[in-house]
Amino acid sequence: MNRVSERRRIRCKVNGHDIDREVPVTQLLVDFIREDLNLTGTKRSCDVQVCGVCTVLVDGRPVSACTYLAFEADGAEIQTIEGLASGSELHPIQQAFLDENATQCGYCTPGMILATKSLLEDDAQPNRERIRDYLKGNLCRCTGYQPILSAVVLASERIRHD
Amino acid sequence: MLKSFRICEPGSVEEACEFLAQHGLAAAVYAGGTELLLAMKEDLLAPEYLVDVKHLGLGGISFSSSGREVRIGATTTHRELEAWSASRSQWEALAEMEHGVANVRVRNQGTIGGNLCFGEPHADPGTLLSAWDASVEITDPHGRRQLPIGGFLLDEFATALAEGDVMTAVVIPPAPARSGTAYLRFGFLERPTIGVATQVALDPDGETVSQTRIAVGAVGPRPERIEPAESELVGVHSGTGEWPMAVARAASRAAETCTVAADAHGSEDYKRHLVEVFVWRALEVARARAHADAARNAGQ
Ligand SMILES: Cc1cc2nc3c(=O)[nH]c(=O)nc-3n(C[C@H](O)[C@H](O)[C@H](O)COP(=O)(O)OP(=O)(O)OC[C@H]3O[C@@H](n4cnc5c(N)ncnc54)[C@H](O)[C@@H]3O)c2cc1C
Ligand code: FES
Ligand code: FES
Repeated sequence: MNRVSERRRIRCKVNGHDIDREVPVTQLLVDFIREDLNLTGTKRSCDVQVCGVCTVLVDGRPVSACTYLAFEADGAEIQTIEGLASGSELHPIQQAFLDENATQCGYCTPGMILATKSLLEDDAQPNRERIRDYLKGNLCRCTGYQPILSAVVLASERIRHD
Repeated sequence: MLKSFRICEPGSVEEACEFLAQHGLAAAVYAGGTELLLAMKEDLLAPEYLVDVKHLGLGGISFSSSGREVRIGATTTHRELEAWSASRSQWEALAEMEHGVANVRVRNQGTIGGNLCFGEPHADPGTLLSAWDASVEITDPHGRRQLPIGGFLLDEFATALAEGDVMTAVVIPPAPARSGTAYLRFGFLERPTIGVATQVALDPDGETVSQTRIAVGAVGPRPERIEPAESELVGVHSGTGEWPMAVARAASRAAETCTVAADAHGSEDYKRHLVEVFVWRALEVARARAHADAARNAGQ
């Protein structure tokens, strides 16, 4: 039978917390995260899947929250930038970005860090070419990318040696 | 912001087709949404119903019973295809093609069916599938039909899909013996400025070219097979000085005869130049792969 709906109940985990909400099927994940959950670390800029500032991880895989319907997150585990640090201790990727000055205005940073997280889960020791290739869909207008590459390398070293 | 619409989740492909046929332009197939939602944001499309085809068992990659034909379900994502082909040496061209598509986020969400059904000329899969003489399987309220990829991609943003149609699979025929395929793409924007797919097959002597296929995409309204260029190479001895001469002829024939259109990616002249260079390079890669394949077969 066809099931036709205007609203959907979604039960998911966001940064480890259980969420149970009803959303209009037209709602984009970026709005659900920013407006309904007040997690404003996830940004929006291009709105067309090019810049990567809206990157979140859905079941570990990066997606553009600007072009992903929130109801699709039913049953999924979502990670946003707010879920990375434990208490006041930064995640090793966040720390590496700080140490390498890989963030200036910071607008691209949440997406960059989440994309890096999924890269390092896929490949614990990526070379620079792999890093550039994986992060090519995350744009940064400030740093010139070199500090970001260094930060990813540093983070991968630290995570491997931990 | 998206205008109001409803999501329809059909229980089967047949139900999806019937719903689509009944609602006509008011309903659109919804897979990954990476193109559809963008078109809706821009108000280019305003469907009242999005018919979600992701839960109808249309995903996945399988071999036919003969073990050689490959069937790719329409809702298979680019990332799934990328991972599948990366671990199979015979499918390196598919891996190359899929790896180049968009960015990792679009590849996670976007499907092969959505890519083909949108008919965007600046795309990769249709070009490689043209070089392979692949077909697409379409299901409608009355049954199924298969169309060659060239009969499906008709023009920019125009396909053979009719109301009530759902693409259910892509079917790739077996590769000829002693053959190799290459896919090269180039571009400086998100989407490809050019994509070239070539296949070279060799005679049992492992040297003489028995068949070549050259497909060029993204420079014109749809992927195009360049038959006058293909025929330049047949019968050529691929291990001697004949080969570079024939490749040069084929590449310049392709550049002359290919349909190209100027746009934000470049002028007509620039694109013809790219066609020449990339057909040349892709033929060299395909030749090397065909030789490797012939050597593997001879060793068996
Ligand atoms: C930033 C960006 C960069 C990109 N770069 C590239 C690139 O480099 N190379 C490239 O090839 N592509 C590129 N693309 C396109 C990308 O491959 C497609 O967006 C994706 O594959 C579409 O699949 P989808 O499942 O998201 O389709 P959807 O958006 O869900 O659907 C697209 C269209 O096809 C129809 N449709 C979908 N599935 C079916 C079906 N099974 N049967 C009938 N109709 C169907 C829909 O109704 C809609 O009209 C890019 C896209 C973006 C946004
Ligand atoms: S805002 Fe989503 S990719 Fe740019
Ligand atoms: S730090 Fe400003 S955009 Fe990257």
